[in-house]
Amino acid sequence: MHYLIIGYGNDLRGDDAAGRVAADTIAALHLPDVTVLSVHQLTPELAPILAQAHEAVFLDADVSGCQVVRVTHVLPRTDGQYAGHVATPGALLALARAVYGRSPDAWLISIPAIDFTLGAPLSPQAHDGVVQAVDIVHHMLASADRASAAEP
Amino acid sequence: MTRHILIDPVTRIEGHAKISIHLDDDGNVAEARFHVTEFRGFERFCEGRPFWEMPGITARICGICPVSHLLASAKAGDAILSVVIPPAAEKLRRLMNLGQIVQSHALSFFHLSAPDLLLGFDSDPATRNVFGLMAADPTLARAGIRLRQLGQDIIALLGGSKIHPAWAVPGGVRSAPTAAQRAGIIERLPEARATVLDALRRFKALLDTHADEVATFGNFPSLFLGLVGPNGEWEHYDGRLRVVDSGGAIIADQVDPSRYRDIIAEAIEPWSYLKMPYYRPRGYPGGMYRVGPLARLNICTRIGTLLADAELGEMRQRAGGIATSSFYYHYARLIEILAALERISLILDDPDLDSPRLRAEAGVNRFEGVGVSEAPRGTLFHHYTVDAHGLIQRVNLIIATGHNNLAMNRTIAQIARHFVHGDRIGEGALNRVEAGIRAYDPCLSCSTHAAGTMPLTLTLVAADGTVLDEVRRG
Repeated sequence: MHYLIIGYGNDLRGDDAAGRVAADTIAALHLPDVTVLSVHQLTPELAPILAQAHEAVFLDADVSGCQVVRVTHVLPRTDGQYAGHVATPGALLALARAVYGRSPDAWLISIPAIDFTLGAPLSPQAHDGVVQAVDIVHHMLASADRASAAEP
Repeated sequence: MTRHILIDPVTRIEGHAKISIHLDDDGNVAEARFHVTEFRGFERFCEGRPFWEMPGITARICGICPVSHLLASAKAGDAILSVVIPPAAEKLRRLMNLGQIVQSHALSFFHLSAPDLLLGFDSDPATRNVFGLMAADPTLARAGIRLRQLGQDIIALLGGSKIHPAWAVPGGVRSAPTAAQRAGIIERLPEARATVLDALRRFKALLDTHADEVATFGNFPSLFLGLVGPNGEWEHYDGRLRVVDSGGAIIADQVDPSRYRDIIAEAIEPWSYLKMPYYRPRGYPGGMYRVGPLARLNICTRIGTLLADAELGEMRQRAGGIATSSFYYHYARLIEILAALERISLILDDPDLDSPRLRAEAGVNRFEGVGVSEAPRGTLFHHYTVDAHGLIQRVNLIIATGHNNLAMNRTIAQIARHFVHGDRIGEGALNRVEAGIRAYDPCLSCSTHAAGTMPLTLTLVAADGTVLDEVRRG
């Protein structure tokens, strides 16, 4: 079982870095069979890495105004919203499937974000969201490991 | 009554922008504006930081072209140190910039523009994307993705990370690839060359069937600006500034990039955060010029590599000399990928790369430094002023998209006049306006958040603010 964690955002723009901070926190744990990437934005070269993963988790700042950390199941999407800057997790999954023949089961963890000021630290709300997101990833990985161990 | 048609945001470009098309009383296009509504603020943000940190900081301006900022910033640092960097360091920086040109141009052509060009401007927008291209021509789509990977892998090989590689530093670079790593890249070059030659063949066939687009996608006289070598040859990393007009006359040449203000001034308009540079001697807005792949190929005497020079000759033959249509940006981009691949091959075989001397050591010897290089989208200027401790006092950045701002506005107006009539925009016309902008491959401030989908909204607004019509896509 190979798990891929991708945190993305701009680490110079306040809460936009929330996904990356969460990814960096997870990377520091050096978990077995877990690859962690912290990237500025989702770009096409991530597709082959995705195609090799059994499961993937995207970590991103949430600008929707939602106050809680959300976990969403992500499906491959080919409906036009693909570009260098605006590639979504769903579009990347679709690209992985189209080019490399497969895409992993994937989830998006959205972390509430409110302040995007240049050079600003994470807001308390985003910081709390990062802690929750890391905890959620832990539980997801533990559940996946248990499910894997239970397989005949 | 004046009416406006608003396209907000433009899809498949870097960053956020909107387009407004202003109609006159008769429903004809009077004016078009490309609004850049994001404020980046990096110039102010960097004040007070040590100039040594600037390559790593400014590389984060963009996730697509971090290398361009990295190199221009390191060069500004070289100027503050007053050093000539070691030969190996310069060649390795050049190698990284060539990798950047390959990956960025490949993204622009194969991922963003090829769906328009190969599937058709009037095809279903739901499938007019890289997935539609994959379904229609999987071999080409996969080859384009592999080509971009090669550029990214060269950057990763040097910088250790595909994006934001804080590898180039004032005075040189931090590390060099091993011979084995270089051999791994050399092995992949033949496939990459075959990919771009195939794309060139396909694109040249398109020129014959897209006469309307060639004639209307930014086809007007302008100046062209960029770096050239000492003999006027194609340059992407160093060199001096040259300005050429649409008739091919060289009107400024071998201008020291540190004296860019002698020939470039910047205007500001209240409806956009993007500055509007112009050629100072001709004033604003008459001093409109274009930069980027088309400009580089228009201003150079030759590229200096076999295959690329042959393609450049054919492009000039097709264009009748200087190519004045921005539709040719796509053509120039492909030729530059070919040139970059040829140059990469030469650099990777260079014995200088085995030198352990990669960095010149010095302190602050000047309080001002200008670093200029050719980003994929055009000439990039980093201009820093520092104090005796090397702390940044002032920063001025002129990015490629800014240079092209005036030309992009004129391009939109030209396309709109040809394809937009009355108070409605058809899907094909709408996409042509966007595609006209995409020909420049603009990279706006992509430093802020872009979550979820980016729908296209087209709003028709009367002079009194009444929304007459609104269309959403995506």
